[in-house]
Amino acid sequence: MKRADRKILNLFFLILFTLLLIMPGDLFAGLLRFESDNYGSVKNGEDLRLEMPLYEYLAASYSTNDQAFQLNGNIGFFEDPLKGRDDFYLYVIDATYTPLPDFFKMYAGRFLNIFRSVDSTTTDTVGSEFYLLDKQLSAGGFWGVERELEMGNFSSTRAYISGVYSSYQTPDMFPYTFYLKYLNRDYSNPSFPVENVMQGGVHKAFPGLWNPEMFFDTEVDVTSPSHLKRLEVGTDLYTSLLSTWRLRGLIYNFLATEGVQQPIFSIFSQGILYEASAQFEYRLLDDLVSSISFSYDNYLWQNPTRTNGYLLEFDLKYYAGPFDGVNTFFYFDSYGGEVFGDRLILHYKLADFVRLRGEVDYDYYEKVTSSERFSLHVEPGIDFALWDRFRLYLGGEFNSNNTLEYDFRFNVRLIYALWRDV
Amino acid sequence: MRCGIILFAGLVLFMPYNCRAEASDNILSMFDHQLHERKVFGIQKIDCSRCHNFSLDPLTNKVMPSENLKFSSFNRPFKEICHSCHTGGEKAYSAAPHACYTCHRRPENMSAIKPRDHENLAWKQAHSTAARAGGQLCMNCHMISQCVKCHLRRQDVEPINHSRNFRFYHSIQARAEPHRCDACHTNQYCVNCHLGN
Repeated sequence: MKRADRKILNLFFLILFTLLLIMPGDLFAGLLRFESDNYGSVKNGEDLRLEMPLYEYLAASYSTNDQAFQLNGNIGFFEDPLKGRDDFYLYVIDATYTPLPDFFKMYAGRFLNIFRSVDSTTTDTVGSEFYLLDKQLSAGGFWGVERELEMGNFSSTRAYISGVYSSYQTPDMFPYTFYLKYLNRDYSNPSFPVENVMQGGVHKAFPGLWNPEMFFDTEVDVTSPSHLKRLEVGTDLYTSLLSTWRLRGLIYNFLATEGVQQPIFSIFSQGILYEASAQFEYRLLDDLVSSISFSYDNYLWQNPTRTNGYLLEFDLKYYAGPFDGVNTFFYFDSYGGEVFGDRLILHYKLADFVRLRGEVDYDYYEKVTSSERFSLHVEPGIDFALWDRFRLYLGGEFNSNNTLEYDFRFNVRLIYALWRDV
Repeated sequence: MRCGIILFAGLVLFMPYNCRAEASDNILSMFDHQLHERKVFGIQKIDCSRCHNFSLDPLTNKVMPSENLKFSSFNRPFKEICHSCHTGGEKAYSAAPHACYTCHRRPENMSAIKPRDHENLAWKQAHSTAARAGGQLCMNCHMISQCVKCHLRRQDVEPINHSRNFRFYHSIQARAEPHRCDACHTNQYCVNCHLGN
């Protein structure tokens, strides 16, 4: 375990043990939610040597009944005893205290910073939030460190960040929601520039015909010279009790930055991407739902050449009594090739505590490199609800692809979830 | 370290003096009348008639509680009474806890109040818009671990976001919609495999 993560975790447990000792009484009465998710597999690695990856994830969330005090934690362990590998991940560990529920909140820790920051990145931050106009207007600010996302180097510092954010919701039954965020990234490296990014948007649902929900969202790099990074507009239309339309338009332009983490988009594109997508969902029967979606992308591949991407997907979902299933057929086409695929997942409830599971996934692809192959995945399994909140899954897996012609695996998953009043 | 965490988790879950019971599935039983009397009714000057049935006694010409008051007879559906303060409907009670898990204390209670748009087959793609616009609302029901599960965890035993076969045709999909990968990955993820790191 990395030294910084160990120190953070030790401090967290020290605080929790202290709270545990002074817990008796109503002061800290609240709800504790705990989840343990464990995965294990026995399979051949790509070096054809046997490997046994084991993953253990623990998540806990505690909130006092008046939500004045909240704690969250989320950690992961990895171990492969056959190959002698292990790793540790400290995903989330944070505390929030609201001394004045009508007015003020403060928070500190490691967050998956989805709501306050422009990007959904892992950050170690401290911050505070204020509420005005009967909590219709909220505003806050934070300062901290942005962490690298990927495995093997999880807690390295990517940049120092500071940001402010605000949102306002009008006092209507179908309100407008406005939000505005600003983020400053300082790489503290003379070779890398400081980034200043702003994100803003509006969302509203309308009553009446088709009950449309509409939104507008944009992200702009305001560092000179400024440029538009993303602009998205869309609407959800509930055209009848049985049908829904979802329409989206997107402009995307995340350039290769001077920072240490470049977007994957910049690998494939040198400029702006335009996307139009549509999805139509229709309830054929009470327990049978169908959906068809189409997406068209156009982007700058290599100046001045632009290229297109097409995606078509047809879904069918059935759930009645002890049986439920989902089938997805898809087709992708790009300058990299084309792929057809079908994925079927079935569940059957054999008894109150036993459920059968089956999955078949077949894909055929033709790549621009003239590679034509198929890949097959078959997985039968059985799910046991051992006793309240414990679930055990045992499954076998067979894969055939261009890496391993015959790939057999044994998988196990153990889940425990607890919601408890304390 | 792992033993310490498991031991701590066991202490928290099973120590009798601080763990009363598994969270109740009876939402009505979650209501603490004494707590509300202490923290709300007196301060906000809320009297019994706000929730309970009263009637005018023709003999004494006085407003008297309903005979059934002892058995909690309400002048509105119970759900409506709770929501009038706890879902931000009335501005005067904006300090009241708004999270759904305040009363819906079991996963089954939560599943029963799942919003309609969550049933959309495309919700997995569409939820990012809702999270940007009003992400704090998500936390009324969800734990942040549900975001972490898809966005941060990397395990290949039971792939969540991609099928087992995705690895073999991802080059085609990445060139069809190159921006989608950025939701969860950076180019370091590509380097880890393609350059053998």
